[in-house]
Amino acid sequence: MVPLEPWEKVYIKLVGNQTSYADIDEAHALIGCVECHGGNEPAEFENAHVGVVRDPSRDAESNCNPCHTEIVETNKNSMHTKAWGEMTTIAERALGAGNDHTDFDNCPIELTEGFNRECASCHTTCGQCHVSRPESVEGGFIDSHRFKKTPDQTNNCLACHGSRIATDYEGHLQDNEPDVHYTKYMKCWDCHMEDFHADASNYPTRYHLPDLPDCEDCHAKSDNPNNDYHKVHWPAQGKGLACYVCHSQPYNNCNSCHTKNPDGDLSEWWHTNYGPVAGEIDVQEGAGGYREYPDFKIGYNYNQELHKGKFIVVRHIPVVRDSYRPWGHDELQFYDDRVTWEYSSPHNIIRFTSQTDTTGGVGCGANCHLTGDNAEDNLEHFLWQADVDADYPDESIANKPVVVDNKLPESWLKP
Amino acid sequence: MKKINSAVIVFMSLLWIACDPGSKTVELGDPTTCEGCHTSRETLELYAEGDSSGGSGGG
Repeated sequence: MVPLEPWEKVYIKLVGNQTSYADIDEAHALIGCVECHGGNEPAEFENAHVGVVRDPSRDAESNCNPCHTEIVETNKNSMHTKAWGEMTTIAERALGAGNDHTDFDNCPIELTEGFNRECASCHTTCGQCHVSRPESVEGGFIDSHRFKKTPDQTNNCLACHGSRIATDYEGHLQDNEPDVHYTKYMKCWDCHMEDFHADASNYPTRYHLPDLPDCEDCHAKSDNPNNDYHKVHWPAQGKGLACYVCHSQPYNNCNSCHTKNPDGDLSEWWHTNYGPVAGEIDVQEGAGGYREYPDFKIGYNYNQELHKGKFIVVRHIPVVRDSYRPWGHDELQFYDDRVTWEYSSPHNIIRFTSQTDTTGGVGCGANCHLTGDNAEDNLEHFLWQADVDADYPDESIANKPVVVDNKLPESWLKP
Repeated sequence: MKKINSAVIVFMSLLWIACDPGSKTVELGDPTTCEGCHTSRETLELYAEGDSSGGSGGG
């Protein structure tokens, strides 16, 4: 996303008969600028900005609380504010399987300090969803400093969730189509009805949150009782295929880490640990740049209590054994305890993908099962141990739970 | 020679007048209040030009 011009970021545009900010947002205008932002008024330019606070909602308890008490109280522990899931991944790899965000403070201090310095600061504030663009795209008012109860999909949600969600949802990857829900003008919140302000301190990752979107909220098996593929593959706990296995297109996988040395001499660290792999591109935008490549991999569902389906779609996560060396942590002691191809929910759903293409009257198994004329090509859909060993040898042990070797049904392997 | 010099002087004078950037008049709000500046695009653009920090970013 192209950052706004400096003047544009702080411009309150009066339109029509408006004569002041009060005509744009009466409630917040009553408070006055200085009350939240500090600085001095009246004053000349230099003095006016002495002590100005750019984002007062970083201190929501002081600046938002007088009116939004309940939300401020729960939001300070929400998933968007705290990044509990990131804490869980670090805790698992530093302390061992079974640890989660509640154990994060027991991690070595260089990890907790690095996280608080680098990761936690990215996570959002009230203002970065409700009045301006987030820091990740350099901020700036969206609608003349008018507070909006529902954030703006493009300028708020997708400004942060860009490289994966926006790319997928809007169909930016070469040869991909936009998600069918995008073409029907559906917004994030049409599916995501979970409470974003809720206290999430009891949930180790975002996938543990209650009220997450579920395809079955709108699409029931009974809607199309004659669909043989649905009859066989409909997902349930420990059975069938996640919907994404059939209906997702290739999606971005990441190959670079975001850790940086605060002193700067290892600032390119995240560019040196991987690849390159086929199709990889270097993206120089957002939070300092990263490398990504489009791919599609079916893996074994390594957490069947949490995710439906015996087989799922997995995405490569950019973490290596020494990802946090720039923070002073040489090696994640329990790196092998967590997969690096993780469960994924790509936002690029369409009815007919290369997996479900039945052109010419072939069954969709022809594009997926490892039998028949396409067997060789279809191997590419799956995450195999041999592929991990070849491309990411240091991740071989970590990914044993997710590779499909010896886990596919016999009927997929024999004619 | 004098004729040529006069022509050069006249030409240079015309060129000077044509190229003189002059002064720009902008619609400023009350410069002592937050709203006065932040509701004036011209004012913000002027300050942004002179401010190498690139502005405060607006949160």
